[in-house]
Amino acid sequence: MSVEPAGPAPAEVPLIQTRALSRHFRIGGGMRKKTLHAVDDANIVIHRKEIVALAGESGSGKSTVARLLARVYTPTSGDILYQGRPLSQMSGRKESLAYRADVPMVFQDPFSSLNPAYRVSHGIVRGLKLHRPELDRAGRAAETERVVEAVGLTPARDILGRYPHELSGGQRQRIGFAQALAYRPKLILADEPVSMLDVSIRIGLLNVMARMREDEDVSFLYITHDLASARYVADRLIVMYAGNVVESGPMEDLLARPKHPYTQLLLDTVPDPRAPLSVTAETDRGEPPRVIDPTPGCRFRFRCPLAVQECSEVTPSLRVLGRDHQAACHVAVADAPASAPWPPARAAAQR
Amino acid sequence: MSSAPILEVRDLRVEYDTPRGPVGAVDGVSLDVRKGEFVGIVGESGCGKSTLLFAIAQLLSPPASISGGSVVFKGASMVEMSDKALAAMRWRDYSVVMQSAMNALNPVLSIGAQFKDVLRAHDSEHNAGERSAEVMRLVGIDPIHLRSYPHQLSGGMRQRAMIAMALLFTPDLVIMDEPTSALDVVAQRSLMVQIKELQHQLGFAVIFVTHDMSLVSHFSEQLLVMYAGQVVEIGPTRSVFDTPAHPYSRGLLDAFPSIRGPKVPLLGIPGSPPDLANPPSGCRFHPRCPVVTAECTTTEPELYHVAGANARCLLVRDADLACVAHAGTTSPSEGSA
Repeated sequence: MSVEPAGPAPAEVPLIQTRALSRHFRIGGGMRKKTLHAVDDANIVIHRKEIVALAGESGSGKSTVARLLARVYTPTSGDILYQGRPLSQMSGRKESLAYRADVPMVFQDPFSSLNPAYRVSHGIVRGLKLHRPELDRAGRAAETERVVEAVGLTPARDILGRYPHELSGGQRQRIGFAQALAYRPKLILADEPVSMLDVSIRIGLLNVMARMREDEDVSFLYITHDLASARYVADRLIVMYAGNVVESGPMEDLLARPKHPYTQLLLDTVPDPRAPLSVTAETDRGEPPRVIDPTPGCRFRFRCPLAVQECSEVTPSLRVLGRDHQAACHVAVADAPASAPWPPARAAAQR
Repeated sequence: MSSAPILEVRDLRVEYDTPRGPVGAVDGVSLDVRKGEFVGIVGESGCGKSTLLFAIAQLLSPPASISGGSVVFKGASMVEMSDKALAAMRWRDYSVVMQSAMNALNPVLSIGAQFKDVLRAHDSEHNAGERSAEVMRLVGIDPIHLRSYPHQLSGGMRQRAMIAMALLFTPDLVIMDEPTSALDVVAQRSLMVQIKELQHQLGFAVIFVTHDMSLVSHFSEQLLVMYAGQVVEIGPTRSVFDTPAHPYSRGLLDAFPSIRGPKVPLLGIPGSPPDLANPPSGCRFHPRCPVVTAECTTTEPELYHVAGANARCLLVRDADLACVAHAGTTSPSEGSA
């Protein structure tokens, strides 16, 4: 398991797997009671030592997936299998604590996720007391320093004695990762961990993630709307739109041959400073809909340049369109791509 | 585009008064903005780019104050202007779009009421309702949302509403402070395209501040890279992107993972920006610079002319001494050190 992170043996039980995972929210009251479908029928698989990127716009349901996996929300229907065992069968504080230590979360905003009243060591030590009671005081101190150094903050002792306001945004977010790492996690749920940071320091955090995977055998669910950073760090990509998984597959394959028109749209909005200046006539002003009491049909059809009659009648389900590559689109064609360009200029930019 | 500049900033300095003494957040910045031009300003958090914008818009409040230099907008010196004279110019001649629309809009007033406020404050002859609907249509929002409250709009729509508000009087200059940084990529892209379209249509100039260099790459004509309160590189956007002369600009450019082409390990820019209360000696970038020389730690570089742009790097000076000799006199900035 030390080589090939993306290719575990096929027989291996995935680290975490969701089965038709759905989460709905009640909105409105009285006569106007409605149901918001935040996540519908999501089947997501994450293997050991794998970094999976979950991409989509705001409102696509990607954060809800992370919260479901973290057991912040309970699923409306469907289930989550952790190392082959359904979470719904998990009971008792001990098991629940163990799961939380195995699957911690790193939040988006490093400015509000650390308690400003305590030194940065506080959060890490508290977590250690809770999740690793076998450690004594000296053991906790040593472990705290180890994880802080593992995320690239040195000298560890000096950093640990500081208050959050004495650290930069990038340093704070590294502390967030150090906290997660202290519990000896199997899977870290990183919800847009770099989107609040300056572009120039994002790459450093992504490198920390890659190194944590190599050195500590951690898997990541990397939630982002930035496909370029997803490509940099992740092995596999899952694209969500309006609560549905619309495409998933190995990163390079998916980016080279995107099947779903929404993936193509996402791909085309990535600014590339090195690309020649192209005058874009396209202005996609759509936004993902809030999915309230949905009727059948593809949820992307209102923005889709390729929509046909069938799209408004039948909800597309994921079809296998390439090696380990699936998309939920009626129009998409299996490999040997008829990659209908999103803006026609795209073909030129693709070298 | 060779008309006289509508905005001339010369050797502008801003200081924050702190218990540790004054801290220079903007240090001798010079900049020209022509009619209808799109100027991008990029740099990391804390490099002084937002402070520079606020200084240009005369929106600084204590402990920050302008300690030197001039801002001349349409022939009038803004630094010496009275508050009353400035109030008359705001919205009408120039407007500012803030970073967070959620914080900039009043949560308890409808969008329409806030538009009306602005129109009334400048006793416009416009019919408030009609004009509001007009600018909303300009930015692609159904005027029905004038009756909406900010929390009822999505992030992208709120930002668009802010831009609509900035265009109520069709000003000559719109100053934007990271208007897209709270949005995701798709909304970001469409907002940028829209700003550019509106600019073509209405002819206003834009100063656009961002930390994301790739964002302005296809939209701005002139690009200014700031580091530690100073301009480290300024020039036509294309030439800064194609042949970045300053190591910091190169670092910023190399910090982006690419979506196409080969996958290479990236380093970003190691280290963090300096403490402005105690800036490094010599070149302010030298502690993080990959090509630092001994001289960099002692000699403070000026802006040197190089292939259409100006860069604050001793290597640029050395690479091209002859060129500097006669460009030195035409170089737009360089104040007293």
